[in-house]
Amino acid sequence: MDDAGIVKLFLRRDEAAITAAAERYGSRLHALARNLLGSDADAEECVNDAWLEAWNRIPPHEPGDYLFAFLAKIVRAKALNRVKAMSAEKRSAELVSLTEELAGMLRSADDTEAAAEAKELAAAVSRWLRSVSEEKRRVFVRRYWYAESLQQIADRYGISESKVKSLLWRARRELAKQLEKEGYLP
Amino acid sequence: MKEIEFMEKINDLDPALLEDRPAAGKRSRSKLIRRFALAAAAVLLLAGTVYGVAKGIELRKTDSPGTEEQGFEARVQLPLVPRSSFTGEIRTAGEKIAEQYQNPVSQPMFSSYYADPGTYALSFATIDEAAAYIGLEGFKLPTFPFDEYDCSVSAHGDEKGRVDMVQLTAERIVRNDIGAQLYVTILTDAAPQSEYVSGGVWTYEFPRDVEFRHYTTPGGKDCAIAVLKPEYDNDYLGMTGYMAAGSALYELNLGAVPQEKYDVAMQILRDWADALDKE
Repeated sequence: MDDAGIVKLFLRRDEAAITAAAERYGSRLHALARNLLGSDADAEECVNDAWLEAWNRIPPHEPGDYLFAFLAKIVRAKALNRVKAMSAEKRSAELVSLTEELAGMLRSADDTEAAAEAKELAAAVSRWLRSVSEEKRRVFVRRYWYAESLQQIADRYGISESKVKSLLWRARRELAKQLEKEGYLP
Repeated sequence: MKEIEFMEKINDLDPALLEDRPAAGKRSRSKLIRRFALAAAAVLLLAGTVYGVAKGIELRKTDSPGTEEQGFEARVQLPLVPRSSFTGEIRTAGEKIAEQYQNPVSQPMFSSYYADPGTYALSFATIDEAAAYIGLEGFKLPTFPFDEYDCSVSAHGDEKGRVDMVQLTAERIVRNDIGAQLYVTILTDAAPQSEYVSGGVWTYEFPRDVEFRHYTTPGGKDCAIAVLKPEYDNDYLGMTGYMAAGSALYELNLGAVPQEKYDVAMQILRDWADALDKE
């Protein structure tokens, strides 16, 4: 069933919506959660929580053509909440490595001016992503949104791990300059 | 944890940017084997010779048998430049890279220009200074079509300090205007392959409207150009020019190009190609 059909089921409050969405996107959502949480069991719980939230949010929300992105955002937010609740030792080595790469991307540790700023930051990052090459954009999104490992990304695009690192390094640097220009960094 | 906070804050990226597809390991594996064979052949051809000249940029649409994936890629055969040919200070980059692997310390990006072991990079005020740092005889100096830019050179290598790739980058960071990034890529004799793949895009969404064009400079050099039409309901084009010159691949990417500025961007690419050919 395509996205439009699944969304219609949600809007009609038909529980078959969950089954259809799980068939279409369940494994990818699970992979996203596992990338962040490092455990299949935690990932499964996280995705199950996400189905409930999707059920509660559609309607009134109508994801249109972006059903996967809508579901993935819910899963990702829930997984990151769990990561924050974990002790440092329990976080996966891959996630620790990934997040260390992002050191310096925000003004300060106390910089939690919450929802409005997050929305602006996401918009700024989206603008920057549209201005860079397709290759860099996809690699950046795979790493920092989907939390994929360097090896996974290299395999996905058929390029060397060294090239992935190079693209990410340059992407971080360019993004930091853009954010600095727009006032998100000192 | 501040870095988690950054990841949280970008959760609401434009959904159009969150293209999704499963990993394509099967496809890339066979490609890697093929490339390795090509690389071995290239090394044999180059053995005992002076390093050669990059040529044959191939832009092509691709598909992946057994999957719905389609896309395009830019391929070029680059000569593997002997590391002994570099005469600039970049010769010391290998040592720094080996040190990074021995002492892996997380490096905040504003106190250092490297964040992962394996990359050592420095910033320069001009492209000329960056080229002097590389110090490669016969290196064609690229031009950058905007007055203000940031410039850097990065060396990439392994734990033994063997540098396999050197990249010079110039970039224009802007808001509400055409953004630009210039990349010059040189592979060394430590690289596992001579075939370099750039501009690779693989997605379920093809055939997305991608147009390949070629511009020939007055000197007869080919500049291959890929124009990616808007993927979703935004108005932007992505345009990249590729040229092989000397022993390097030169790429100029113009991003966030409004459709009405197509001609302007195409002229920027032509002028850039002409200038590179004249060097």
